Amino acid sequence: MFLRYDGTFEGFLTAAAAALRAPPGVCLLRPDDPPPLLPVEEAPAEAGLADRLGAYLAERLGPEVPATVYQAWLSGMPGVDDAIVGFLRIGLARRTDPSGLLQDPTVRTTVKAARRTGREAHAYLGLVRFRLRGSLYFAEIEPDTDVLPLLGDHFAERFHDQTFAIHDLRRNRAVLHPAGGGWEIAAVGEGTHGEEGLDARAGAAGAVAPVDGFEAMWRRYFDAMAIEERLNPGLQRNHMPKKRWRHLVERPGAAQAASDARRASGAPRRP
Amino acid sequence: MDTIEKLAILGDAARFDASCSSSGSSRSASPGAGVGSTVAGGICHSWTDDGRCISLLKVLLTNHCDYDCAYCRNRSSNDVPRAAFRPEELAMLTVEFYRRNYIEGLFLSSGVVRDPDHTMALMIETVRVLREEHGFRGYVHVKVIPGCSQEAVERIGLLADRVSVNVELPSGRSLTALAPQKTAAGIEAPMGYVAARVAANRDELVRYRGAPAFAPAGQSTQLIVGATPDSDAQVLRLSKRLYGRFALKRVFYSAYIPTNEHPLLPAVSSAPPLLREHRLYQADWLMRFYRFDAEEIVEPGKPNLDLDLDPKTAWAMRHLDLFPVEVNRADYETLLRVPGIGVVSAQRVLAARRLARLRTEDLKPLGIVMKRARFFLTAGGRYAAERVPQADELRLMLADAVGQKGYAPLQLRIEDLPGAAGPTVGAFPRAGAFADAPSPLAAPAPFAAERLLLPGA
Ligand code: SF4
Repeated sequence: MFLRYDGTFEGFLTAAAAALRAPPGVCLLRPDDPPPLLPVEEAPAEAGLADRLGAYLAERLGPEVPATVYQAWLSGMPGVDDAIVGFLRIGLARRTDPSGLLQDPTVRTTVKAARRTGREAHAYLGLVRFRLRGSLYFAEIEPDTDVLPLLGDHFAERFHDQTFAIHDLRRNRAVLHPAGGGWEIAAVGEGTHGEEGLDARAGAAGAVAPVDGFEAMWRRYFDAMAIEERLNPGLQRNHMPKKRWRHLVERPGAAQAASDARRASGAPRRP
Repeated sequence: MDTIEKLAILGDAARFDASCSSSGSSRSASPGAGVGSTVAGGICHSWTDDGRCISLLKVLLTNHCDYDCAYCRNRSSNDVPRAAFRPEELAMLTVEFYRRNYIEGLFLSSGVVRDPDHTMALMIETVRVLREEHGFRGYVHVKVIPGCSQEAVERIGLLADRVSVNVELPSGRSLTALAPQKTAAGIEAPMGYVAARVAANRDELVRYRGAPAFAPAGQSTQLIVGATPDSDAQVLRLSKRLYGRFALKRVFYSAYIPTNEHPLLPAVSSAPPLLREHRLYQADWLMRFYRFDAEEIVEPGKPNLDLDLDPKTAWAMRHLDLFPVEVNRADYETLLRVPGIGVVSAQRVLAARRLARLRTEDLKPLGIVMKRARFFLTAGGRYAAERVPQADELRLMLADAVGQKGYAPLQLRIEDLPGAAGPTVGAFPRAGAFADAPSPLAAPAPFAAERLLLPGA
């Protein structure tokens, strides 16, 4: 049996609950999944289910289960929806947090997916770069997993007096935070350039400031920190893969390139 | 001089300090006042081309220095470009970088201007402006100048998250020879004061929650390796003593990069001992998280660590009679001593074998590095490798590839830390994601396990 939900987390939980009530074999579909050959049923989202089910799972299976489920779901990895259902089925049958049972493929997929999202969200706590436009602090990211909902609290707390926006270019959504207010996630129209749309939405005043002197300072500082005797681009990319460089203000790789150029021209290492 | 020029000079001058961590302090923002927060596990914001994490704005307040330490580029007898930040200038720069999310906070160190207390007064003023005038609640780590007064340590401890003193040279003899203006007492006195004050503060906070926090993230230090003839055994014994006596959070090891010609130091053309530094970090982890003692890590009669094998594997090779161990039975301490099993995978073994008996094919998914572990394990009585190799053969197979690469400091990811609950972000959807969802407490319990499990209910 195929069950299609609306692509929201609440929709997913409704569908997952239905799948758990049925015998194994129900497959969940997101709206953009290609339609299978067999008939598909629709699972309408049930409002408020996320909180209630979260509390239930935390109490029944352990305090970490709701976060595991949510973060696994946010990964959007192929097959993860069905894996989560399998994961919960095992947990409910054993009345325990099944995360330790990594021998089981559904548990393994779920735990891996959750870890992937969690790790990427943690990385973005550091990698988000706000660029100052008028009074708006504006960031663009292109994460593999849907990390936005995991970033809001951290940045809203830390920068509570700043008006900021974090735009996920891949999903056309953004965290919006007016100075002193709460945060929300809003869709950003496809095609319109995010920055302008958000300027208006986040209520930021004023013209676009052409240059922010602190960006040049940060780049200069970043370049000064590399130690030529220790250059190790492999290690750098292990921690910060190249795909994450695009929206940074600093320019990773510049010190390595300069060192290569010096060596090619036979000049000595820097004094 | 422009701020940007100062930044280039004073960042460059500070970059050899290995510590950059922003961990150990957890402070939420205060609504309506100031800016910033700290996160217990710390956050890396970028990685330089040498692969080291940038978490804090690491700079010297000034690289003018009246001292003449033989190993230091900023010593008074060197002709290098000099600069100095004004306290307000550096405080403002920190806040502006912070608001753009470049950094977690400030790591402040300095050359010695006039005398230790005068230098400390300038550093204290910088952090005071940052905290009081900018309301900055992010992370601040300050390097105390050896030889300063107790009052200065007290004042900076009340302003900073972490306060530390660099030991730098691993023996008193090396210190006298290479840093004539510093004394062991001048280094140990502030370390002792911080240790005692942090411990007392913990009690104060228990009794009275509003007590001002003193260096809530504790202290760390740095040892330079390869500048002096001190052996790994001496270095590790010193670390053990420092951890024990001063309750340090971390000892950092920094491979010496020769910068000045000096009869007692390696020639300027010689390469920094990066692999040795890496092995010391591994040994340090064994002491802190794997319950090894310094004396077990170095081989009796050999003062330096084996560069070909990581120290845990080297230990196992000296104790082959204790292996293989049965993964379904071995206790936690024993598992931790198996090459290829880390803190996290050992915990996973404990969790997984409670639920089912482990077979050899179950071990890799638990995160065990089978390439190494298979020679030291049985699962359900079955040896995990195809056959038992000879000791020499085993040694060759276990030598890691690290030796061939230039290696940078071992920076562990947060999920490698024992007991780390993983990244510090997001649990279930929180405020904002489902802003209008009713409180779970108000709603009747929606599910019972029975209902979930009953088909079609
Ligand atoms: S005190 Fe010694 S190590 Fe520190 S900056 Fe001055 S010369 Fe360098």
